[in-house]
Amino acid sequence: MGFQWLKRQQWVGTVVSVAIGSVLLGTMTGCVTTTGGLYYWGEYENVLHTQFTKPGKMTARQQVEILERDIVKAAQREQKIAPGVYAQLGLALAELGQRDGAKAAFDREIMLYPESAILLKGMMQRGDEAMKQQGALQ
Amino acid sequence: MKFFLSLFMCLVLAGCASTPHTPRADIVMPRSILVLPPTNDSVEVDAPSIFLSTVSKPLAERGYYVFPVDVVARLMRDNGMHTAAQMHQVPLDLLQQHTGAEAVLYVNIRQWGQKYQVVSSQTVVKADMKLVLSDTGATIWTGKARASHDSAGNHNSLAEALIGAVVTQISGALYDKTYDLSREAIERSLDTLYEGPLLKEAQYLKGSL
Repeated sequence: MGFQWLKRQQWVGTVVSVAIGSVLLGTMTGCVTTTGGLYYWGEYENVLHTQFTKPGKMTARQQVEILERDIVKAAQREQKIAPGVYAQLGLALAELGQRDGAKAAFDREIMLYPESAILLKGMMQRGDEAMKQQGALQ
Repeated sequence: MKFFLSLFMCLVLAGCASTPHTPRADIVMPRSILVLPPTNDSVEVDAPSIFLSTVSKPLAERGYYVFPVDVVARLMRDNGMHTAAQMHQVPLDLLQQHTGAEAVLYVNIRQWGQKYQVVSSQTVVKADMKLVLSDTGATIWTGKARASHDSAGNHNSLAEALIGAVVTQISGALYDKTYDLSREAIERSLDTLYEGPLLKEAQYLKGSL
């Protein structure tokens, strides 16, 4: 009788630990988490934060490297890259003089998020006009 | 057994961060939000920048397209506006014309950073937000982002509390505690904001709808 009772206690203990473990796992992954959210954000917020507060520590080149890496990671995880990432990449590429790359990045943001079309097309147009003016002066 | 059941419920409730509320059928929320650089009533010069770097994610995850904040800041500067106050004065139809934004978020930073109070050092962030429809100028939502962290914790003596306060005050300046608090404050304040039109669309594409 005593031996049977002991065995049942162990069984209950195991079941309970497994239950708690799976609940913890379930709540951690099932709700709004970095992977459970709508988009993949990567280092976007950190890029913005460092660029705004310590510009020297976040050069255009570093931004390109970090954001391109995040874009690859998003694809690997089959998650949609967050709004603004491609646009920020475009800004950094433009700063580096890589105009074609910048346009491609802006176009990608527009494709993923059509809401961005007016803003980004306007930016590209102003960029083109500035180039023309510079060309005219030369 | 009852203990584990209540623990389970706590975990479930705690694990699921704020779930957006679906608006009534007759309420149409804007698809896109233009967040302008905040005006700043605090002593922290970087407060608007730090706020901006943490506002996109919580809003976007709630179902809104948030215009890239750095692009927006540059657009303003390109058009000769250098202070947030100037930017907040731009007429809505002009903002809409240049960005296509269906709504604009106006933010004012009330308080930001370390508050040294001798026996404790408190890190406080306070920002007031107002969401306005570009078409009508109607304010459809206001929110108060508030969060704070106190260094005064488990101190056994007054001396410890004093030292703790000074250490926190100094380290707060070296390492930005307001970054995490900003996220926390914004996330919490968005509890009262309806979900945006993009939420269901994005969930559908993800295959979770």
